[in-house]
Amino acid sequence: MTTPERWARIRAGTEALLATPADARAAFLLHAFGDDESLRAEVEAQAEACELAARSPDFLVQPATSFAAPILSDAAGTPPDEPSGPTTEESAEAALRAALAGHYDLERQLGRGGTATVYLARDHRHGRLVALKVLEPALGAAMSAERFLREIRVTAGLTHPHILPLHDSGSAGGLLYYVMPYIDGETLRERLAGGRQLPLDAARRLVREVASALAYAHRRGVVHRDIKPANILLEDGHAVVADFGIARAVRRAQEPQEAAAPRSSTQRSDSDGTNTLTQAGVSPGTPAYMAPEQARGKADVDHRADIYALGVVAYEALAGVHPFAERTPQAMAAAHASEIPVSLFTHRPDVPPALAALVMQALEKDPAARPQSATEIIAMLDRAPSVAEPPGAHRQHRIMRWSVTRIVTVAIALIAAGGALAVRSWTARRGSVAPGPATPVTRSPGPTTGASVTDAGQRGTSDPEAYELYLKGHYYWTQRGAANLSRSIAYFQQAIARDSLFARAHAGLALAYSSLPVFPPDSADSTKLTSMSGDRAAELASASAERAARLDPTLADAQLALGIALDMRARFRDALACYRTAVALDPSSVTAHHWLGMSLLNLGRTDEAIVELRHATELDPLAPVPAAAIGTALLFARRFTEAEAASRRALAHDSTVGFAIYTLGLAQAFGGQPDSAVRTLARGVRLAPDDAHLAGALVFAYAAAGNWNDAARMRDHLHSRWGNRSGWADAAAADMVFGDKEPLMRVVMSAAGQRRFAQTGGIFGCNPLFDPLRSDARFLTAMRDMEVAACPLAKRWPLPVRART
Amino acid sequence: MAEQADAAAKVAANEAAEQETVAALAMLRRGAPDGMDRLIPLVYAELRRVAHRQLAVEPAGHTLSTTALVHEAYLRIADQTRAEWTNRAQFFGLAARAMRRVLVDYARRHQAARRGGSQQQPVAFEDVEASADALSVAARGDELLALDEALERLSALDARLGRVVECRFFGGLTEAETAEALGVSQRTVAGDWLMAKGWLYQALRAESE
Repeated sequence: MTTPERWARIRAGTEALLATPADARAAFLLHAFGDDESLRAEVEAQAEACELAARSPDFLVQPATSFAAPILSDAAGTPPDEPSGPTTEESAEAALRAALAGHYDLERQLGRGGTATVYLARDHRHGRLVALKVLEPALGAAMSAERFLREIRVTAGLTHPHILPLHDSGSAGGLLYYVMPYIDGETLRERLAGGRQLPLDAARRLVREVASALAYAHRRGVVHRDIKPANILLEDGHAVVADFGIARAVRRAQEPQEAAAPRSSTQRSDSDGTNTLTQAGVSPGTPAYMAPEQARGKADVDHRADIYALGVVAYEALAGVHPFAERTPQAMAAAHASEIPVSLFTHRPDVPPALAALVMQALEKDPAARPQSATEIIAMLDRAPSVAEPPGAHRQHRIMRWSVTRIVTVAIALIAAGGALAVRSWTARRGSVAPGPATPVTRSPGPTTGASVTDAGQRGTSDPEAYELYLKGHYYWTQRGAANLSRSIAYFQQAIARDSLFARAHAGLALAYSSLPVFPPDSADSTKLTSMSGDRAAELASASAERAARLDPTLADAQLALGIALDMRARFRDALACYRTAVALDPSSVTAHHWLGMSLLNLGRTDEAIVELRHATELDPLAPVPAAAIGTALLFARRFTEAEAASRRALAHDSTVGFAIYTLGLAQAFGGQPDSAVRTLARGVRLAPDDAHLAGALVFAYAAAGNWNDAARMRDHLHSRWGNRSGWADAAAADMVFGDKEPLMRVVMSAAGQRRFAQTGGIFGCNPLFDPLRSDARFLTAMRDMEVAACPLAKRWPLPVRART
Repeated sequence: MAEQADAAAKVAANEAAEQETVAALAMLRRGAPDGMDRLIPLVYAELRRVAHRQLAVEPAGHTLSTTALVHEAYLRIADQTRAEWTNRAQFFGLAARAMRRVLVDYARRHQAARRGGSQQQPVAFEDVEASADALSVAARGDELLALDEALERLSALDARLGRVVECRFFGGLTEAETAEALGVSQRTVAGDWLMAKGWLYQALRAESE
């Protein structure tokens, strides 16, 4: 129980912590509260909550009345002081019946949603059953009936086998209604009820059919804006999309007269102005299926919002759960804007990777990153391998054990779904889809088949909190960057503090230490980490890795960590053996295959590397780092066009992966497109001004483009920023661009230089950046000593002659 | 006839309310400790009335402007009492607390009505997400009640944090207005608001797990 006195201490600590730069916080916590672990934890939790709350787009952002407006309006019909009128609804229905008499007989109510009530009705003129949908009076009252009926007519022109046509529309008894064929089937919503998944082939067909309906309507300028399972009817197993254009008509009819009037039906671009309805929080567009730009009420929402919604529907049909399940509309909109859905494989390991990738691409936050048309989706589906026969790589998934990637997935799930780091705010309290951090052990999504993760042996610890700390540490490690790395190290240390025999945490800590030279903490803060040399980091990594391997000799991550620690000492050949052991211990580990591939690449065995790296990406098509590494391997193989394509694919998943930008830029520079290379790498340097590799590559690209002035400027920048740290190969390589080979030669020849190069993520092998040195005997000796194979592909650098100034 | 009687009753009620307010204000000026408490019901009634009127005029679901509500209530009460509200800021602080009570009251009422039944209606054609609005109303009500409860606990730890949340969230006051209402610096309000939000974030999250 917190007392006011204790709270005062927590608050003071939190304020001090928040005032500390992110990188220095772990150290601050240890110093300030080292002795009082529970106080430290509370301060940390409070600081984290403060930051999350401050960053949250919806937590206590709106004033209370806005937040509570739906409650007030719900209660408005029954003022607290007056008796409610229970008959208003019945009388409205009676009025409707009277007004429709002669044309339609209402037989019974089929259902009622937030914006409309659906009746089964008999159409006297045609002697058929129809579905008659009546807009909620409040909604109808807020708009122009005349305009609604005019707008809805535009969509009545749609005829397509997968679009539910519009028979009729009108206003009766002051209510707006429209009439559609009655389909005696179920909606996709009903089909998916209770978390059911569609069979793979049915899901694929559904997506294709809805996409074909969208493609048809989009070509005619009609955007649905409210694609969701309740609007997809299933007739004999085929999809029929209902309510096409209704959302738009409703919205149009609510616009101020002047705004809507001048538009003719031929110039419908759907780039309307303010969305009054969305502001009013009424509908159209259902928060659960609404694209981020639509939820923001952006003016230029286009057909790609439908593609996003289709992505959500497809995800749900395949996974059986909504990507952001169990949130209130507000939290849902926030999730669409900022959370990345858990990998489909977590829910359903047998989804073909191509289909999963398509769905994830449709769910991109940025409309430009999604498939650009429904037609494109159809083409992608038709290209993808049939779902009937899973390819070999796909089968691998089925036997996938609880491996590094899986842990990452779960860590992300934890974080995305209400964990300590969730964007999910203060809504949706009842029930929880994904494990919260308090209960990760019992409720973690398990591995797809095989052993259950709920036993302590699989996790490596019986302490749930240690495990949770480990997951967080691992997550931050995968996120890279100096600040994340500091966090990652702190979490691993805390996990070990709770359970010192926790092998995985030791291995994780080793991996994190090994990344320190690549992402050195900001020199502005004065933690111990900053001043740490690469060799010191290697020592720490090595010690932790050995500890992990002793605690659990069968742990693939421990072998990986041992390998990386050996790489950091330029013992490349020994490292390779460790990676091979890691792959043997866990053939499904993406990370193990990745590092094995990188090790082969470093040793000059480029073709073998490509095979391993392809294996890694087949295991997890969405992992950005192995995807980018394939590009690097192809660059080393001097297959520049393919290298460029591979890097672009990696960047399509995440446009900020520095590694992929670097490879793309060099592939362009070496492949005869120096101007594109300059653009690519200049963007990279803007994104990551602290990345010396990108800056070094930009020097090369400028030179290749004949822009020697900027090349010289960038070289000088490299020197002033990184040159004084001995052995920085990027600054030395920049000198070589200007004709001075000796600085880079010194790096390659000295043991310290070799280590430093390896510690900062450098790769020897057939790296084209070394080509000018390859004819030099000193270089060849150094490579032989490191057991790096010769590179027969080496060529002259494609640099133009420098004009003398 | 009935209308006249109605009007007469309203006048009488207004007069009673006015006298009540005047008395409350007098106590407030004298610094009597329960002056605040006596004024709250008046503000409460006024806000509730204004909220109802606004809802009747505006389409369902329309966002109510807190500031507009508070200001209108302020003007009406000030006018009713013809009192010189020299301490406008203090009034706003008071109104914020009243707003909290109004909203929490609404949420309770709504929750009670929900428990009372009317859930048996089957929803066949439309579904969960189609009735997301209805769901969200319930969820929002629950959230509001949970927040109110958490705020009570926070106030026990640090009363000023509780007041800041009332002003900023329930009253819709700006940082500057809150500072004025509570007689502290704007910087204090900013710090308090950050801490309070973090605390509540944790408290509500803990409940959700």
